Amino acid sequence: MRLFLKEIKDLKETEVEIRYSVRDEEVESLISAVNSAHDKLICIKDNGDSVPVSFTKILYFEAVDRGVFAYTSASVYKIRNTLYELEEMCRSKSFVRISKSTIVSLNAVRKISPGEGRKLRLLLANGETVIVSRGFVGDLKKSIGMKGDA
Amino acid sequence: MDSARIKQAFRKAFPLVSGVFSASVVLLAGISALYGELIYPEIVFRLFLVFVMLYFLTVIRMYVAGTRWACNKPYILVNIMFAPLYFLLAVLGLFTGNAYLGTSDLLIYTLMFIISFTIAQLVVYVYKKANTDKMNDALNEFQKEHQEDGYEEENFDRA
Repeated sequence: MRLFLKEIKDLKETEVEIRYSVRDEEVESLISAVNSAHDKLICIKDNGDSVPVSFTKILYFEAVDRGVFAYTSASVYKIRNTLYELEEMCRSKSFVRISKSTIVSLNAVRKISPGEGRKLRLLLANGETVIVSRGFVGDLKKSIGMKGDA
Repeated sequence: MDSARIKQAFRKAFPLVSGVFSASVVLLAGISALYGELIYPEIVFRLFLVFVMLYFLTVIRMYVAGTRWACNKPYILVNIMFAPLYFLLAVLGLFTGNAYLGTSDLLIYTLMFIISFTIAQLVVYVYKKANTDKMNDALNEFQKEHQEDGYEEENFDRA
């Protein structure tokens, strides 16, 4: 791996470009290192502007109709990453996948209550409720330090 | 009324109700084979009509269950609210005109069903609630340990 550093005085924001032929483990660790360096995610507002949003402000991510969205208490942003990529990026940030389409911040959960069947309901800090699918109940339990068997 | 949620309710209710309908037809066929009695087309048609009505009731139930009001209440509340309607619809649909089933019998059966259904739902809920109480304790511990990357309220306007 070769590292190039270039100083450009009139650049408004630091840019990182990773060139690779195969997106292997080394590339993935570089991506996660860059992401964790600023601890913010590049989100797209309704008007198309890109804004960095701190992970600590995000309640949950949801995949809806081929798009992925980040929900904060005040805003909804579109995200360029896939849910799978977000899951990898958020692994060390107290986020957990709770269904095929949702990743939630455990720090934004105010209450866990029983749901239909073997599902669970999570009441979030903004008053919204999200559903934990039964296949992900074990993961949620593990991530809060309980035994994972649902 | 949220049209996206109504569409979702229609979509989700269909496989559920059609699955139960198919199962009930198989059950009916099994009973018929066991007792050697023919199933009259009228009965199958009546069963179909009942399930059409049950489908619309399920759509309404799913829509109500998805409202913010229902999400903030125990899930069994919606079940208990809708169970008598399901029961009445099924019984009235299948047994209307049946000489063996009088109005007083229907009332007694409905009451028995409501009471036993409510008790069963409450017992299951209490058991599940005990489990989620443990999870809430674990969550509180987790959040205390991870305060440094805790959730921050966002104060700026909706984008």
